[in-house]
Amino acid sequence: MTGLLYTEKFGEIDEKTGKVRSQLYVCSDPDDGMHIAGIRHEPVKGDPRNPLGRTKVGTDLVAYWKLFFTTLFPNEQLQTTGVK
Amino acid sequence: MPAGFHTVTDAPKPKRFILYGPPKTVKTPLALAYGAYLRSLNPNSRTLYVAADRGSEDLPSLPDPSWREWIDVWKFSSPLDKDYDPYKDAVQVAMTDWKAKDANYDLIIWDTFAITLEQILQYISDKEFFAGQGGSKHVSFGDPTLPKGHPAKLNIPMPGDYNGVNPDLP
Repeated sequence: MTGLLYTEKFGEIDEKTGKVRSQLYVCSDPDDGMHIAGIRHEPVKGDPRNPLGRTKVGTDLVAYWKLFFTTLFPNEQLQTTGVK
Repeated sequence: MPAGFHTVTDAPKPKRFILYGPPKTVKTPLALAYGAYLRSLNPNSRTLYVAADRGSEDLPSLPDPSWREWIDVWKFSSPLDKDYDPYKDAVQVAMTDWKAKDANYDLIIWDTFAITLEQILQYISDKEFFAGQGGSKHVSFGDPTLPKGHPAKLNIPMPGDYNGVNPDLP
């Protein structure tokens, strides 16, 4: 398993506009109390399933995956894109 | 090696993710965005969307309408269809070599696997596969001497586990 990711959404006040905006978080943090089918997910240090912790995603969902893969698999990125 | 290229040490390996969370927490758009990310790396990349949720085959959660062109949708049969068998459907999808069908398939999204499992369990109950057991005994795999709940012992669900009602009872 590469990633076991839990999504949460909260309304947060935008400091610029003062309006409430939905904000997405993706969690893969051992402190988040994640359970799958009644089994507590216990990550091992360095386990790639839990690399980023709780990440504020915002509206750019594609950017989350870019962050995920460039953080975890930088060499694979180089091979895929073939760019410096 | 061409100038400007780095040495690559890791070949890309298949990735598997489980996305879970409360309803309406952007799980499907986030999964589809993975396909968009792969598309940014390979313009020919395609995504297979396995639509298990009712109505999901229309991709109502698609974040960007322009993404639709690189997404192929697989729709399961419904309980109203002749020869409906969600287990057979699921195995067929899982065992298919999608890369052989289209080398550009880089991502399969199963939305949602929980619904598929619910349908399979309901199908088992509806078909009364365990009617010969009198409906009062579990069929077990593994070591029968192990205590209930032990991971090496698995009880197959029966209708009563889901508060199923036996219409033959008075």
